[in-house]
Amino acid sequence: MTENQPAAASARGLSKLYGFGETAVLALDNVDISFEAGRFSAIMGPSGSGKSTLLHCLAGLDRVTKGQVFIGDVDLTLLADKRLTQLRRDKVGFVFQSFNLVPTLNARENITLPMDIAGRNPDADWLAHVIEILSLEDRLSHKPSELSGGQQQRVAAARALASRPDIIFADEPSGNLDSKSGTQLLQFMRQAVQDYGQTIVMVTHDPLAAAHSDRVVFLEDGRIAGDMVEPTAERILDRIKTLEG
Amino acid sequence: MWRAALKNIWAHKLRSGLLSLAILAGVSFVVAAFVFTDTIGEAFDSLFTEAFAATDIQVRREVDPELSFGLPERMPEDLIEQVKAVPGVDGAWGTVISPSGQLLDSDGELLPMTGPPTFVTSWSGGPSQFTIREGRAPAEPSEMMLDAATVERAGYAVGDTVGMVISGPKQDFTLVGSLGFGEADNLLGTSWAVFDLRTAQELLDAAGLVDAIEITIEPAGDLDAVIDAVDGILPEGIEAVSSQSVAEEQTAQIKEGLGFLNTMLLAFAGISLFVGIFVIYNAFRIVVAQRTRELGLLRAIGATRGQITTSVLFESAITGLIASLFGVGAGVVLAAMMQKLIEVIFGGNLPAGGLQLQPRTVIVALVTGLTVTMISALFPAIRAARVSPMAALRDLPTTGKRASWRRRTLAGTPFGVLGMAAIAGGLTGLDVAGFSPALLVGIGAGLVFIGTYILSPLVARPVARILGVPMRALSNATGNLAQRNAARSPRRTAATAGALMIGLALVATVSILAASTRDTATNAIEEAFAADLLLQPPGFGFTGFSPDALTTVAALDDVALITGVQAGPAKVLGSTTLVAGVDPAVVGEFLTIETISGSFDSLDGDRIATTQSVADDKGLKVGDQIEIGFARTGTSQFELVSIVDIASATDVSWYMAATTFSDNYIEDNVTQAYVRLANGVSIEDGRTTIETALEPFPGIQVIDQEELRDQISSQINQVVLLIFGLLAMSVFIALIGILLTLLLSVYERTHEIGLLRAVGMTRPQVRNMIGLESVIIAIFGALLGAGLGMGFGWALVAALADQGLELSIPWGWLATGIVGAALAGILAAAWPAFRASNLDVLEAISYE
Repeated sequence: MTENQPAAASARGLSKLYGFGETAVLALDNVDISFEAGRFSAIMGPSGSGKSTLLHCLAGLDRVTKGQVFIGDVDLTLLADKRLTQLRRDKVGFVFQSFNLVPTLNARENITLPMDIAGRNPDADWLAHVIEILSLEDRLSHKPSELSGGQQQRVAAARALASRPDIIFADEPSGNLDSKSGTQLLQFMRQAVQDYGQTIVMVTHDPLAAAHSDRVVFLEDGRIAGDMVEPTAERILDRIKTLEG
Repeated sequence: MWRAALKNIWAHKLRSGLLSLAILAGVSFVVAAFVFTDTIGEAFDSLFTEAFAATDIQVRREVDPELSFGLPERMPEDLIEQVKAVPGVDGAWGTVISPSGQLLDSDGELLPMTGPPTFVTSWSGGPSQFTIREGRAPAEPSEMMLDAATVERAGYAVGDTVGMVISGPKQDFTLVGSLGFGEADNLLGTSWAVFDLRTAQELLDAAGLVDAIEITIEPAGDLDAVIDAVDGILPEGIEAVSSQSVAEEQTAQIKEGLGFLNTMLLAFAGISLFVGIFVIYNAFRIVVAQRTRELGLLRAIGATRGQITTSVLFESAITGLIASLFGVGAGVVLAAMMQKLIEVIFGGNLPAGGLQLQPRTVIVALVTGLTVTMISALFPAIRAARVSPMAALRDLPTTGKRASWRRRTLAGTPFGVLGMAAIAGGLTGLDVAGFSPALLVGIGAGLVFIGTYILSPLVARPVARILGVPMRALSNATGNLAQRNAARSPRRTAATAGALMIGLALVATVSILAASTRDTATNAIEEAFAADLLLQPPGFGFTGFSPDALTTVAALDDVALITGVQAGPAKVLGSTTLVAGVDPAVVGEFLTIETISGSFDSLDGDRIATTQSVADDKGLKVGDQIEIGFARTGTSQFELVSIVDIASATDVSWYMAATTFSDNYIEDNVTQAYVRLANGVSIEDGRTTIETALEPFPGIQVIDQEELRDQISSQINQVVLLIFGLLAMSVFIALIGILLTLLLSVYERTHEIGLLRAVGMTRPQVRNMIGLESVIIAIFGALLGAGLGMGFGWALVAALADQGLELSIPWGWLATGIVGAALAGILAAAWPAFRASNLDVLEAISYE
């Protein structure tokens, strides 16, 4: 981990408790982590390891029980709902596993949605560029129901990228796609980091998907259980085996 | 299956509650109508029975029931002595009565004349319907009694001087006592001024005459035998009847008089229930669509189609039953409130007595509520049964099936055409298949509503798009999303808007009819009214004012010409209408009278005139014999001597000479008088002079043309406001419909709203989005309604065109209605918007 670069997102002493009393579940247990700007990071872990919870807390979608969460130098735990919403709108991009798009809006409107909500005009050149590299030019006026799963996820990625957010959070972005569409999407995300310096943090349980990243953080029982730079699918699989063993 | 249905209701308490509300309102109107009528009927039944129990037999003028709208001829009072001599008669007392008194309150101001009349009558001296509450009976010409309620209302106490106008100028009397009617202080708000017989006869210009003779029979006498015996000595046209049957007649008359309230309530109950059907149908349709997966599962594990249909119907039945039970409660409360309202309006108290909730009322309410709910749920229930078991396995979209133009047009158009035909039939007075014209118009309107309801999804999308334009300008993203949401399911939007359409259509119809009536009347005044000033009796009604006032004004130097018009009810060619008595030589100076045929100047004796529209309508020509029945003089033949086109603000269409009028009516009060001032006298000066001269005749209004127009406008506006108030209930139900649809839509779009929140939509933006969607739906409904209403209004006015009605469209009122609907839409959206904006983002976006 390189400490001299500014962190795009980080957590300090982050704990997240679900429920109360006897049935309480500690989803995150005193997690310290930071994600560097300009890199493609992956969070991996078995079901219930807390990886999605970590992503939600980092993205300002979920409230933390203890600790601090930063996007850039802004402490999310200090923000009220309105400021937090605006921060998500202006600084954060999202790609979810499914249901990424608003069904009543066409592809172009879905891509510019965060900027429309903010009442800002998109940067036309950048928008055209994003649409071009995602090969969505002839799909722009289509409704989500008229798009394939891969196209839908590409529209979601374009939306996340279009406003040039400080950081993009992706939650199993290729989880619902066939392997060809999935690889295409991941390659694009890789490209966005490499060519345009975009920061991406992705949750996945798929070693092949994680292999597209620069760094993999392993989570188990709500704690950081490992950290791997320059991962390959084989190394990740080995690591998972050791973790489970 | 039953358990599943019950659990469903319980699991969606809120939705079921809102659905119940949509039915409850209509049911409560039905219950209120019955309870109110029963209560009033029962109360007056016991009141009259008690009041008339004091005497046994009444002698009165025989009146053709068809001619009971006025005062009959009086009887000579020497009949009293003859009756007393009949064997079995114990005592007999004569009374006179007239409803044309005007009372002043303790401040010398005329009591409001807008309510029930003030009766002037005599203290018979024998047992009577009155019971003395305080003081004693009048014995001197200067003495009188009042009913206890009026004493209180007018601020008098026994011993005070009371001012009254009966005929001629104001007179003062000493109040020597107050009286009641059995237990009651008051008879449906009427006032009673009681004098001794001689005084009353003199006041009513009835010396030597009586209106009724009250008889008691000897103890242990045979009532029927005595009635026969009395009847035997009475001259032709006078009859003896038991007091008991008079009590029954009077109760029946009061019930009939209040029957319009019953009809009105039932009409508005019908409208509310009709709107309720739309709301419930739409809600069940959406719910069934949302439960597609669950229904598919039920089918997959072996539920039959019949079972699915029955379970949905069962759910609706339970909802309807609960709603109806609450509706009964609400109806009783409503009836109690109406009773209070009537008391406030009429300024008196109704006879005391518990509210009458009869088993029949409860049964009607439950049957109505259940039927309406189950009919509404029938189609959604059948649709639910059509869900394929495969739906359990696939995630079928719950919305977005494109409206089929062809099928919709084929289904909707016949309703519209049939409806319009029925309206046209009703308006031209056709009596089709035993339906009265009014009912035919009502059914036609209902059919047009259904037709529009079926066709409206076809235009929902484009209309939503157009309405979305200003909203996008207002706020691009939220406006755009709101418009897309409103357009995403045209059926849902149209169905939700349809409920509002009905209320708005009726509001628009009433507005147009009222505005046309008002403008036609006021235009007529402007165009064809040559009077400088008018004399109007206090309040409205047939009380009129004394001809003495006319004489007083005519004598003034400032007045060049004055003429009075009298109006009274009569039965002409089989139907009761107003006839006017005029001075044919003078009235033309004030009203523009265009003679079509015959000679208006020759009105006299049995020679009468009518308007061109009536003559055309009934196919009359000069020289025809016309049969007219009067309450006083019975039926006789008149000769039509003139057909005229007469521009006047009143709807009188038969004219006779003033002398003819006086011969046929007991009261010859003036209904309206026209004044022309002498040259050089300004309107204001003339008014002051006349008002000063009329001081002994309190209550007569001296007004100019503009004030007359204002009076007509304000009277019409009052009626319009009352109807709007009642229609508000149907608009309220429609708003519940919007609320329900939005709640269900928000529920359905949980995920989507979560996504919007995740990518940065703030809570206020979410609320705006839902609010704007609601506004689009509301305006869509309001526009449809206003359009239909304008059509209905135009048709009604066109049908009444031969009575001189001209179309006038109140754009201001219509615009207010549409803006009001938009605001109401925001109101209806408040709760769904709040729920949407408070969704837990994480929960909303999590995968099922």
